[in-house]
Amino acid sequence: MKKISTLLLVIAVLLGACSQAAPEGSSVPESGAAASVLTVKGGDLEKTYSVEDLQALEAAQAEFKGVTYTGVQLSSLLRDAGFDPAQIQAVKAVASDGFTANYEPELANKADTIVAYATVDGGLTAEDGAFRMVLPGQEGRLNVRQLVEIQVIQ
Amino acid sequence: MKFNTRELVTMAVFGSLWGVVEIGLGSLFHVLDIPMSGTLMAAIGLSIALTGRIFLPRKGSTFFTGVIASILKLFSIGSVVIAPMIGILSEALIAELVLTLFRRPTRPAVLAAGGMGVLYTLLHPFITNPILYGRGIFVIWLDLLDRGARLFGLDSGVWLPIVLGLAGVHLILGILAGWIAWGVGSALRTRFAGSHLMMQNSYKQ
Repeated sequence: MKKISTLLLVIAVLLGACSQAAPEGSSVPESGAAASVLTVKGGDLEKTYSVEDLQALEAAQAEFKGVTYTGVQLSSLLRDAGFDPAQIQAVKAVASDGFTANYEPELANKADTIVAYATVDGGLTAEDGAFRMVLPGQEGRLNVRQLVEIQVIQ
Repeated sequence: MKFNTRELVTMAVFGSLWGVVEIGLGSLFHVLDIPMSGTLMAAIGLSIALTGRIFLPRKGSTFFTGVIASILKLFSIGSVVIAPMIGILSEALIAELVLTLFRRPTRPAVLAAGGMGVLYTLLHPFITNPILYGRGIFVIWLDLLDRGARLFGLDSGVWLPIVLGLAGVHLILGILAGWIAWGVGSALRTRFAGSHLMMQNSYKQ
């Protein structure tokens, strides 16, 4: 009995440790200025964008799960922030809850990989946040919602 | 390596159990997006396979149990099955190799087999992702560090503590699986040996 109790305690502690991990994407919509600012950084370069800043860049559209999103090509955004998309090793998208997704340079530079700030029918939902990643045809966990930061690994 | 009908049936029972758990619980974990679900499934699956090995201490039986479980995984509806199938086969193969090294399925052998089998899940994406999804090793490495960083509340830049921590958690879960298998397997063997003797006695009377 004592052995079983110890075993259950160890399992509970381990499962508890596992459950501390952030879930996929972001389930808690974050409001306020921090959530509506997107930071693009890597090495010595860092630049922040508001929705208006992204709207000023060339618009692109991409579809994911039947929704057509409007945004900016990730490669265009990286170029605007001062990065050379041909020189990157990987790109990391960070959500407001700490969830991350890493992209290969080929995936980051695809024409339909966009940072969305709206849908064709209007604004993004509260679940999506102010910005979200849209990668058509890719698995759900790569389509990060509540996007707050893009890290460039060179 | 030749098994008789009774041994094949025993392995099929444990393999089916592993397979059913993979289909049911594995799919549930996937839908609920449980962190480290692959690792947890490996620990649960190996505890079943190792219980089978203690019950049937024949060389090759753990791998055979894994083969049956991976075939059953084919029947998972609406989820990707190739990578988990490779995972089940690899975990069973590693556990089998460790048990073979120890010759007899003693308690340390079963704990080591569980530990190494679950530890493999840490390396699994590095093997399957480039082949199945064309992902690069560097991005898989970043994913691993991010996962560990979230789990331990560390910065993903400190790779050594993260890797050691993840390896430790995997090993502990695997050893735990071996520990459960040893307890359940030993109890099962004792109970079935007892019932077998009772049957023999009743025939004599």
